Amino acid sequence: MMTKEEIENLVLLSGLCVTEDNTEKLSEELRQMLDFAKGVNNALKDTDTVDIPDCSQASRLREDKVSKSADVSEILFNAPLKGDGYFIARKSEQDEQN
Amino acid sequence: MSKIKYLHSLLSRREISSAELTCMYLDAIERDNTSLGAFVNVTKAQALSMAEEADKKYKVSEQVHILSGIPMALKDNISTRNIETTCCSKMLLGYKPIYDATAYDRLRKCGGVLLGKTNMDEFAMGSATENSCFFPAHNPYDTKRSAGGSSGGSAVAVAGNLAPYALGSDTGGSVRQPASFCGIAGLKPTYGAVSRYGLIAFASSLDQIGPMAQSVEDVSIVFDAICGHDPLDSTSNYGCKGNTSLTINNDIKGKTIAVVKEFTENISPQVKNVFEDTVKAFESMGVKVIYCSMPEIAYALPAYYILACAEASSNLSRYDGVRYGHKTKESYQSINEMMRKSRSEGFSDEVKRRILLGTYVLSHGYYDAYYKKAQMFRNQLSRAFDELFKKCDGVITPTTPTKAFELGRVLESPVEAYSADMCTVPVNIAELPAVSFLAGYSKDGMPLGVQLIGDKFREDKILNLAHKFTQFKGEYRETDWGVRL
Repeated sequence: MMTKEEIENLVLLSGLCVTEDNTEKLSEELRQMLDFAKGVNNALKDTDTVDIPDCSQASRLREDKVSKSADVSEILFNAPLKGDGYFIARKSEQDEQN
Repeated sequence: MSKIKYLHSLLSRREISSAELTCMYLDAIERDNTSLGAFVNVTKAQALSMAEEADKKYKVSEQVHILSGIPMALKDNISTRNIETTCCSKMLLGYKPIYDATAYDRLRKCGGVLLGKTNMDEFAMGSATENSCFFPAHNPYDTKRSAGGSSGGSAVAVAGNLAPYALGSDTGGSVRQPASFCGIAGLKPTYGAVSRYGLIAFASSLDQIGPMAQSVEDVSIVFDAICGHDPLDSTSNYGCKGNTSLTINNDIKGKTIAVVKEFTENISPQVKNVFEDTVKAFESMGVKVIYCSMPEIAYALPAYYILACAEASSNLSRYDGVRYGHKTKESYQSINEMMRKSRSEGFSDEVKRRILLGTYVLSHGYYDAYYKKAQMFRNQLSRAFDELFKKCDGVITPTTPTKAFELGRVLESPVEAYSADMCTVPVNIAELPAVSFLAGYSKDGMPLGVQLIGDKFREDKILNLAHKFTQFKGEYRETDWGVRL
């Protein structure tokens, strides 16, 4: 079982909010999911894994080339707040109202 | 004759116009969608204008693409320019992409007519299409039962005759499982065969767009239209040749299929019966059946959840309340607080759980124990399949361990729902193609599917085998919903 502090830290790392009433439920659900995920260790325990690479995809990406991008107005089309060709991200709500 | 071929013949002979056909489907959607929950957005104006374009083509040319003028539906995580694309998440309500997904663009260029966007589990995370921010999808064979997921809306649209075909996406079985539950055919192509450009990412190394239709033949026709290299997707592959519909009628005598023991364990007796009957039918068609074991299969589900959640936690970090998507209306003191509040309000609990698990397995101290091990397992599983495909043309398995379950079932833990994907996830981990096709019905008339897994870029072989089976033993029971032709 994860401690309350560990859960709270994980929620912050995930960019989500911690509320007092959900940490216990989350902790239990995550415990069940991690117990389940641990099963993968049994797959590798008895097998010689020395020659098995842990990455299969990095070698086949295409060459990175610069090409034309979308217009600024298109990129900003879905932004909740925008102005002067930029996304607007206010540092606080008061700031947003000014 | 398959539905697409039939509709194309009607259009070619001018017995019906695309506009008339499109109106029939739009009327049927208006009538039946409240009961079925297939569509979350009906693009009527777009559909009528596309149909008009197709009708012009039929007037001036004898040689029009087989998909020209034929209506279709897209899962709501496939980007459509200026048409709302939400992934059925509160996070993306109102979001209108500024470009078309390549798969949709290719269908559009063939003359396809977009009827609308279909229901799904939020961000494709789920196996029941109950986890949608709009409403659940209902199985056309029994509306109290699930349509499967996450491409449940696309499966319902096809099985409920609200669209002749649809596109879904498959990260761990999300095309094949709903296809099986709704009695239709669905293909998960080889990783890299169909462009992911414009498919809103869940787990980028596992996601593939796949076609869904009432027959294997139609699935093959649509796959041929959307597959092939795309420079806009960095993981798109030149290995896919398409043209599967040219070989779909080839004789299958002398081919070999494998039954892997681990895929046939923990499945319901009715599924087992239909599966065994399907294997016997293949034998009677002159296909050789070999029996073998692949112990790795037992570990595919945990590995899948590690990989998929890790990639999801990274992919979904883009939703920050600044560039697009939901922004909180609550007060905040810092930009971090604004982002956290926006994300917590925009994502459902299932999405949050997966982001949390993904963040955990990628964090310092746990990366080696979980993520790295899962990646190693991924290669181990691929090698096991490589060895198996030296001896056979396809691996046959049930698609799902049970028939469609009832909507609203109460689960003891989030993990319980994951077992529905036990036969489908190994395919995504090993980047293989697989088709689910209707193989029979349960005693109470619910459809049951069987899956054929193929070697990389050998969609032609599995579609050929599946098509010949459905021709030999197929018994498609039309539902009472939608357009009857």
